[in-house]
Amino acid sequence: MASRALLRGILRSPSGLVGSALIACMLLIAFIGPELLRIDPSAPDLSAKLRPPSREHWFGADELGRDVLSRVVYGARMSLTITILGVVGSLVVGSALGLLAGFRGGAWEMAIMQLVEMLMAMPGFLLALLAITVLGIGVQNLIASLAIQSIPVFARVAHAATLSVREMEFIQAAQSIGATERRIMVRELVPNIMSPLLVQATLRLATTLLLASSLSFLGLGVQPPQPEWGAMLSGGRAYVSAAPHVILFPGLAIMVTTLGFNLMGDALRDTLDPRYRRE
Amino acid sequence: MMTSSTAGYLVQRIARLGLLLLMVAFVVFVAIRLVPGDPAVVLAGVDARPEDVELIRHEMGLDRPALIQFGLFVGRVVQGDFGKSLRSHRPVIDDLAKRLPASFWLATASLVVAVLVGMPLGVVAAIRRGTALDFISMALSVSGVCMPTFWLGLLLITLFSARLGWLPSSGWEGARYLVLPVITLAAYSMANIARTVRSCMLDVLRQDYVRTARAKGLVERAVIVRHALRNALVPVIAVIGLQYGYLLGSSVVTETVFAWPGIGLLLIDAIKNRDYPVVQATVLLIGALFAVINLASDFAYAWVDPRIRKR
Repeated sequence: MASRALLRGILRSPSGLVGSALIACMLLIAFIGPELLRIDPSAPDLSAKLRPPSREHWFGADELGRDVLSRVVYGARMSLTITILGVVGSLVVGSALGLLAGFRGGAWEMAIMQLVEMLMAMPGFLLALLAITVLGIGVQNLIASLAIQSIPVFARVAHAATLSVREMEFIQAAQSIGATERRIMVRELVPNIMSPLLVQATLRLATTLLLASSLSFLGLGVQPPQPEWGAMLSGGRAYVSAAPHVILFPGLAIMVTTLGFNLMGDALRDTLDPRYRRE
Repeated sequence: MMTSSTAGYLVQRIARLGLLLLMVAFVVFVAIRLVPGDPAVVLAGVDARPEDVELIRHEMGLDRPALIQFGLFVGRVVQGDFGKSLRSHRPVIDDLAKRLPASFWLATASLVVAVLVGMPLGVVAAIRRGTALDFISMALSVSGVCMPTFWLGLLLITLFSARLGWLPSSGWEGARYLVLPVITLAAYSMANIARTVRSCMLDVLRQDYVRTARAKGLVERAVIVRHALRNALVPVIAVIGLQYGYLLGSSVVTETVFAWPGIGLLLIDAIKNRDYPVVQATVLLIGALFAVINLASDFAYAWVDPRIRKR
């Protein structure tokens, strides 16, 4: 399906429209917001410590007197970058593995799908924790762990999709005119298995954001004083009785963004998969 | 005929469980060996005495082929020997045994709450489709899916512990301590169950046998409970099984929020302290529980739906 028709399909459904609008806003906030706001997210101001929202600090100030609004805005950049890189990484690696397994078959398929099955033997959350144990704590390692956690999912989807396309006539046609294996995979197969992968990727953005912020909240992801939504909640949790605003706004940001990704994913699935279309 | 195929199904599933458990063990085995550094030092601790490192090297057979190492590893695990914690110097199995009940009760109570709230919510949404009730229950379940667990926990603590002082915010010394963690952990599963029940019920309500049941004059209640709900339950059971596994995994976060003395908190502390024997054992345990629960839900699935056994 052409990308234009796809976009129209998403925007036609109310939930897709709302979801896309939410995500568009969040992306704007993340990548333009810091330039417009011009408040240092890590400048401490002990006189403003835990101050509730006011004209000076719209979202209040945190335990070190830092501006919460500015931290939420910079945190959007951090959280969205981590989430998107994690999902794109697993989309690329997982799809390549699934495609290779489905197209080559034989020993390749056995080996790859066995590996996928092995990674799926434990819950994704646990796999991410194990990956962090091995790689260590840090932003790059967090992204890698998020990617590892989703690789088996994309590999499975790509594998199944490839199997259903592999025997079609246009593939045979490409083979008969002597197209190389690589050309067939990249030019013929990839465009035809994209739809289910796109749906999965969008829905996966939602769960990955939740997972990423959970890991940072646990102290295994982005480390303070870097502004990130999960890490902000971890910092503010000791002050919930005196200053609930410190945990209110980062949590709302996570929730709204997750909602946006979920709504978009659902709309995308409805557009691409006729089985889910409303009657 | 029927019984033999059922027995075959059981044997096949149990064999598959064994394979799955081996896979979990293998992933953990490989992961710990991927930690930079000499595995013997990794598992003995960086400040261990050289003779302790040598002892571990010998016990694990690190000078022998990898496959034999894995065999030795599985052998020790089967006997409950997970080594000693690098921090407490106690056998890891003791800590696990002490911590497991807290996690088990938290996950189980949450599942019960999730089912008891999620199922009726989904059923009501389906039979009152398009009404305000449907809208409210779906809004609840969408927020349940999108709300980060730890944030919900913090909000509940803010309101019920810090502001109102009704419920304790941490520890485990009685039933009152369960309330907030259970609500926190159950929310996501409740939402998922409600969504699944709703869509399954909507599918089932369109079926011919439901129309037949209505046509023969059954009261609506009997149509819903005996005909529709029973058939809608089949996919729901699979979701419930998945949710239990999910609850065990994600209780890690809830346990951290509420300082709940379970295995999740143990795991997070161990990862931060590079206490690899504890990480290894905890991940193995949660992974194994996950596999066993999936098997149990497969059995429940087959029990409800005879078509699956016959396949």
